[in-house]
Amino acid sequence: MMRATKSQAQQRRQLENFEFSQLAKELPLARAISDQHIDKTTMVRLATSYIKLHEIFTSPNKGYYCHDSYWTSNHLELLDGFFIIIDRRGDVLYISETISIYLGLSQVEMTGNPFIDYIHQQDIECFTSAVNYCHPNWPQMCNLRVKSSLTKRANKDAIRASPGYKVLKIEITMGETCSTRLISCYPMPTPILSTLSISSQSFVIITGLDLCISYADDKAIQMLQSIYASNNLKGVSFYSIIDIMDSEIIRKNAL
Amino acid sequence: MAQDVFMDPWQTATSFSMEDEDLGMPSGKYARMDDEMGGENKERFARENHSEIERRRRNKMTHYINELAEMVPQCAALGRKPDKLTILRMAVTHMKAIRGHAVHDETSYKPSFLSDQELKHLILEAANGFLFVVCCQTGRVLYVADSIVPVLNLKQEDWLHRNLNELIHPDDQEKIRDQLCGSEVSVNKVLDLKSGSVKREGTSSRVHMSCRRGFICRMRLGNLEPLHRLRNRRPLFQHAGQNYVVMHCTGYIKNAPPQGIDAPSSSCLVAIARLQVASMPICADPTSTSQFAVRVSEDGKMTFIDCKVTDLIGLNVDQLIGRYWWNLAHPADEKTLQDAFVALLSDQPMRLQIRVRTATDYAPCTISAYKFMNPYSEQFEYVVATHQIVTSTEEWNPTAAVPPQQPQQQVPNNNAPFDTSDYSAAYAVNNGNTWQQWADAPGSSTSGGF
Repeated sequence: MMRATKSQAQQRRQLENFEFSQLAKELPLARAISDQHIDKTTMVRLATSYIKLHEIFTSPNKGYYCHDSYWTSNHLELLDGFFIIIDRRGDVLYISETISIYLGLSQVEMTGNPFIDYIHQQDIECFTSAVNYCHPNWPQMCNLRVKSSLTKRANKDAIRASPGYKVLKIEITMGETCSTRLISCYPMPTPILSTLSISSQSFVIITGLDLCISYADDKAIQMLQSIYASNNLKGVSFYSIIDIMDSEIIRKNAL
Repeated sequence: MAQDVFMDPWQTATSFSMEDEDLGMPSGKYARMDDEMGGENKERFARENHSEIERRRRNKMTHYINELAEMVPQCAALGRKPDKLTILRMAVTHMKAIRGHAVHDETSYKPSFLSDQELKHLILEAANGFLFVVCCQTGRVLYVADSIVPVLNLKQEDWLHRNLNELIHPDDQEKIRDQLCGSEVSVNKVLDLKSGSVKREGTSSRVHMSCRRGFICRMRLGNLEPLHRLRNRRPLFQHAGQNYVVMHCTGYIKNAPPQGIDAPSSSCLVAIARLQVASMPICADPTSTSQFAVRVSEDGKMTFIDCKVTDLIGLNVDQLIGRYWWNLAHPADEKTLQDAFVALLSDQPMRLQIRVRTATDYAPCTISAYKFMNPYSEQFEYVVATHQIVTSTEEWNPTAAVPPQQPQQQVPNNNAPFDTSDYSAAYAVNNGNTWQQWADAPGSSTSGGF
């Protein structure tokens, strides 16, 4: 009797394991990833997210702009950022695999888990309000600190930086079903390099902490001097050369 | 905790009941205990620790399996809760169905959560972007995605086989050429972030630029009328009667046209252009159409005026810049505004209802202003003044009944912090032309208006 139950349980487990391996094959992951061991909970989590994601994408509007004969399969590499789709609970339904390039985080790990688990504690409120105040055709924007395994440890040069986090500029758009949010994320340029290349169309100004201009290169002089200063840009406040409606934004950023 | 904050305001009805403690990673509690306990205890705790982990794992699995069962239509159709094996089988069948539906061509298939078409849709919806391919030698557009339509209000045919130069702002053409030719010309200056100095980089130090490209340019908008995506959120540039919007382009240079594009073999730029969206409404927002902002310097002169002023009161920015702020007011209100400005400089907040000049008449207006201080040096920078033109006459309630005065009867006051002589001089110079209308506008004609 005991043996019968035991072999029954064993048989059931075998059947289950077979279905798990079938499920693993169906997961939309590159072979390089799916060949590695993915635990069963992760498989189920990914499968659920995948099914949920396709419930959104099979909505009637899908055929909107689908008349192209050509479309590249590496468009994510063309972008300077990545995408996230979250459901109404804030769980990640989709996250571009390119997140690993920007943050070192893994698609497999994040899919199906709450996105706020990856946001800096102090930025959660900002994120949730941006998500909630999003309207159709009215994207919300904010800057967030998101966990990253690519940041260097805090050093004396970056006293105020948060170690282990990277700043993303995000734009949140409401999905076709208003319970989803499409989030596009663009990383901020990180001053890892000690030098920045300047294109011929850019100019450089250096200001003091009071944003008073102390240096302007030739291009800046050419572009700004005639408009904003009769003789010398030096000593001109940066606040006086910006659009007045932006002064509050700059003030906040300078603080 | 934080999860509640997120869920509450957004959606109400969810069948979500997940015990956080059971699903989170094993807390550090047990790990820490291990270090503190002696040999026998340690073993016991290790065993408990292990069974605890196992319990959490099982709970987590049950939760995910139940969720999966909810998502698979065949399971939901059963009417009873199926066992784990059935759920898994049905999930596999369902996933196969989705995948089969999503895959269009097997050749370029790469497993991913979203198909190419779905990603194109996502790029359009979330980033207002579209893909395009341009030949580097000729600047000819080899391909553009149909998702250009809602972004630029242009049809695919408007771009295809055209020269990119015709599609972008004339001032950006030189920049685009630099980006396409792949030379080092555009990047010969370098900013050293440590010393803060700008250096010219020797041309020999870097032989070639990487194939990666990222630039900003202005692209021409079409006039397909009903489509106007994000029209209040994108900065517009005008040139020769055409509207241009700011686009971010990112991509790379390829040595040959991508497969599927019929073009002579030459290097080309494959890129996604996405619309630069402002964090605030740019213009014509329902709440701010009747508003314009003015920057006032310490001596009371206007140094910046929102260009919306032209639409609102019919006066040009050039006519106004350099004039005293109170010149904008009805002659009878000039003194009120000037006094309010003096009070504002001594830290009194300002909210005022007066009449302002328009090209032909006067309009009631609510002015609110504040002193903008440099946040670092705490020095006065300028005054930011928002002018709200009152359209409904009921809202109009002048703060003080100002007796009508002679318009140009400005009494020079030596105690005033302003150079009033300068003011009258400026007035005299302009009196001959456009400002004539102001001087001529009879004060009495306005009274009927309000």
